[in-house]
Amino acid sequence: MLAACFTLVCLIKCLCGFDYTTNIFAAVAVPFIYYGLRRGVTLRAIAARVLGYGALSVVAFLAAIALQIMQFSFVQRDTNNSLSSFLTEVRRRTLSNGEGISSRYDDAVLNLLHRLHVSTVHDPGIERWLVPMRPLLRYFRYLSMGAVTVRLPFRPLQLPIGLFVAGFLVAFFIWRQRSKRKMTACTDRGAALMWSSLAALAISHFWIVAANGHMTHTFFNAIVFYIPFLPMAYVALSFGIASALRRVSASRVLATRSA
Amino acid sequence: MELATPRTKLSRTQFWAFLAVTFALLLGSLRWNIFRIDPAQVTENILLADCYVVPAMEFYAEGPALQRDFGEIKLLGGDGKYSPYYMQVGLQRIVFSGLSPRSSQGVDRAIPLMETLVAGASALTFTAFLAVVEMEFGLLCASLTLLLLAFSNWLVIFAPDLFWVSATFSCPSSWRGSWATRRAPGISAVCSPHASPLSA
Repeated sequence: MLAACFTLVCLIKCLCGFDYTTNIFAAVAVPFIYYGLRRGVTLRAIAARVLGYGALSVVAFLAAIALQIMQFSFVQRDTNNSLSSFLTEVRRRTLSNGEGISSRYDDAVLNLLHRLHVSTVHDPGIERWLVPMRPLLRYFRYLSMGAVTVRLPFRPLQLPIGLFVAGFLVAFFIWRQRSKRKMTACTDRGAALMWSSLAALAISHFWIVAANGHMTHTFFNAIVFYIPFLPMAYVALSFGIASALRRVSASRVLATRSA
Repeated sequence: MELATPRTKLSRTQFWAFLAVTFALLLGSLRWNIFRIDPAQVTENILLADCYVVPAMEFYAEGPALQRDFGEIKLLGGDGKYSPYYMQVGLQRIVFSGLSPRSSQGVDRAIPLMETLVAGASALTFTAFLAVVEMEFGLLCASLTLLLLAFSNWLVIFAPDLFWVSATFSCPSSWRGSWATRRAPGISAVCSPHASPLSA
C-alpha cells in the first residue's frame, strides 16, 4: 500500500514535468538511511529498501513515458516524427554539455585572462579547452548563488549554497576524525543525521551529472541543491547549534550547583 | 562522538500548535515572500512564469493534454525554421483547468488562488518534514530549521509557480520520512553501544 502510494506520487511528479526526477526519486534514500541507522538495520537491508523504492520510481517514470508515447500514437497520430523529436530532445538535454546558445562562461574566463595580460592571439587555443570546462564553471556559478537570505536592518545577508556545501563537508570530516568510529548498525541520531546528510549531498548532484545540458539554465536550476541536501544541511546546522546551546546551559547549571 | 543531547518532549497540543505556526509562517514566506527575500532575484524568475509559461488562457490552449506549448518561445532549428516549444508536462494544466472558471477573466482571477494552493502544498510538505525534525531533534532545532527554510531564496521563487508545482519535489521523500517516524518509538530500545560494526 505504502509502495503503491509512493509510486503514484512519483507518477504525478513525472506528469507535471520530468525536471529533477533523479534527485526527487533518489531523495527517498535519505529517510531510509536515517531511520535504518537509528533502528539498527543492516546496511545491506537499507540498500535493499532503497533499491526497491528506486525500482518503483523507475516504474513510475516509465509509466509517464508510456503515457506520453500513447498520446503521440493515439491523440496526435504522429508517432514517427514526434517520437524521434522526443528522443532527440531527451538526448540534447541530458548528454550535451549545454551552453549551446551562449558562450558567456568562455567569455568570462577569456576576459579574466586578458586582464592578466594573456594575449588574445592564444584565444582560439584556449577556447578549445574551455568548452569541456563549461559544466565545471557552471557548477561554481551555482555554488556562488544564495541559499538563504536574512534581511538585516542595514543590508541583506546572503549565505551562498557553496558555504553550506563546504561547511557540511568540513563538519563531516571533523566529526569523522573525532568520532574515530566505523559506521555502525546502530548509531545515535547525530551520527545518523550526518550520514544521511552526506547521502543527501551526493543525491543533490545526480541531476547536475544526469542532465548536464539542462543545467545550462542557471537562472532556476540552483533548486537542485534543495532536493534534498539543503533542508538536511539546515537540520544538521540547527542540531549543532541546539546541541551547543544545551551543553552551555547544562554546564552553567552544573557550575551553579557546585558553587 | 555523541552528538545527541537530552531534550524535553512537547505535549500533543503544543506539537500541533507548533505545526500550525510552522505552516502559517512557511505559507507567508513561500506565497507572499513576507521576509522580502532577494526581491530582485524573485522578480527575475517570476518573469518566466508570468510572461511565458502561464499566460491566462494557456490553461485552455488547444493541443495534447500532457504537453504544454510555451507559446511565445520558439525553437530555432538547424534549417533556420522556428518550431513550437512543446514540453512533456501537463498534469498541472489539466488540474488547473478543472479548477478555474472557463473565461479569460475567470482564469485571471483564479491564478492567484491557485498560486496560493500550490504554495500551500509546498508549505504543507515542509511542515511534515519539520514535524519529523521536531520529533527527532526537538523544538529548538525544528524552529531554527523552519527559519532557514522560510529564508531560502529558491524555495520562495519556486513555491508559488504554477508551472513547477514544487510541492512534488520533496513530497515523495518527506511523506515517506514522515511515515517512517510513526514507527520511531522503538528506536532507543534497539540501539546499544555494542552493536556490531558494518562495513564502513
